[in-house]
Amino acid sequence: MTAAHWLGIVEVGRAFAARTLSPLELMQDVLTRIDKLDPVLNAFIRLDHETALADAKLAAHEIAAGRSRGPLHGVPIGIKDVIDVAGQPTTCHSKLRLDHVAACDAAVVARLRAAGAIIVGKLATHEFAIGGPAFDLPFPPARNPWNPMCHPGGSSSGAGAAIAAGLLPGAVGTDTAGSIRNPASACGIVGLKPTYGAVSRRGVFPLAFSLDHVGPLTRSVADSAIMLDAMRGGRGVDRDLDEGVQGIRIGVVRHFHEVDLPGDPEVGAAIEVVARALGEAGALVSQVWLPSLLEFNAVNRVILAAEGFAIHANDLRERPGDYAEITRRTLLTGAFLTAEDYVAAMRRRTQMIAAVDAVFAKVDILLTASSLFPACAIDDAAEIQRTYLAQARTPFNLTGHPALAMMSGLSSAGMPLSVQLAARRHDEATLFRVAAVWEREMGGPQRPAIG
Amino acid sequence: MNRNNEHNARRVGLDRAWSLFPQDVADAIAAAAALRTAFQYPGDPADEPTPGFQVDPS
Repeated sequence: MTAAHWLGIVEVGRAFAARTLSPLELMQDVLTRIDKLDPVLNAFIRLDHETALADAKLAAHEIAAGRSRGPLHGVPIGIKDVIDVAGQPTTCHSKLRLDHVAACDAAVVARLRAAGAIIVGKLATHEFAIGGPAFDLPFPPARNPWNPMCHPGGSSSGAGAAIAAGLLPGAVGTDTAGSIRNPASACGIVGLKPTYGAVSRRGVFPLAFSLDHVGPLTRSVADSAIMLDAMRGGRGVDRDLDEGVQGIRIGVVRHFHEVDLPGDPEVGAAIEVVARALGEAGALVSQVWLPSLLEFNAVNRVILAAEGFAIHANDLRERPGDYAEITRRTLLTGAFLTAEDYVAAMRRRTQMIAAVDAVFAKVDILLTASSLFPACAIDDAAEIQRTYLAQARTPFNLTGHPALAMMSGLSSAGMPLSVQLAARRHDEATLFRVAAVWEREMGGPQRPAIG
Repeated sequence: MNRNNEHNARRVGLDRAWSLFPQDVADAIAAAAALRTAFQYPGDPADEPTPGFQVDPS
């Protein structure tokens, strides 16, 4: 029998309905596992046992009384610590924000609570959701459950570690240049960056206003659909994940990882395996070309740096020593870009959006690399620097299309490999359908041997 | 080059960052310069409309 902490949101809902598990039993199991593993993984910045247990007890009563609020009722969820939870500090993993206590819940947290989710704690992030893992901050960096000596991706690093290790079934992250999909890729889980604007950013500390997205990290595709539904306000997402991919047109973008920014051959080989599997399942697979990944990354960095500096200018001027070195170095770049640079990047962005939209007139889904290399050692600064920007996620921050990263296999070193699927704006339903087919081909969500 | 960097840092109000972390500032100036040439600047201002975001239609 599967331990409660490994159950996904769908399975938890079934177990609650069948009364083989109660929210209180699940919460106790989850908290026990967090207490056991988090000293190694550092996924949590803040954990509130008492409130979590009290909320679980209340959920148990409501469900037993027939007042279930849906599939998230009684489900433990973690929140990246750039997102406000009422009464708790939103530290952004930074010395600069240790005393900032949120007056009210972020809109996305309020929506999850309305759906019955229980907020268990705040999760580690790269400082202000930028930079990389740092050892000169008030909290240690999260580590990868597949190998705790390795980086778990970021910036939603605690979310990736917590979901992959079975500490939580779902978490909320943010994504400005891939920060949901990076930990999903490094930790072998499912990370969704929804359509730009689909999930409210009110109460979320911004990194770059026109690139920021809020989305779920889960172990399964079905759980991602459930979380997105609640995070958008429960308007309903097509959760019929069994429809298959017959007739869906999938465009494979090979030049990202083969030409523009050559990645690990194992990453490319795994993409071909996924493309072949989807084709055999009935999808119409072809090759497509987008603008260069290098240019997508450059335009994203200009916009991110300029918008990010606008947010951090005062603190960088007054308290530069309170940032981690890696954060400071990254954010300072924006000070030396001009209005002309920013406007030029925004204009080029518009052209790139048009180019991607033109491809979406011919295909329904894009299949690309996500991370171009598997996770590396967390204390190898040079390798982190080399691999952190070697990714194919920024195109969809720029264009606003929904994009999902998920596992594609394991590297020869036993670390997760990943792929990315992207769809037309507001067509997360097709994204989930295609992702679900690959997930089934893969034999379902995979788990690390930790714990 | 060092004087230029110092001037650039002071011009944008980063005097303290320059005095405490001159290498970080110098690297940021170099990174910005590299980014400036890393993408194609659109030519004709009439070539494209404003950024084409579509927010949630509901």
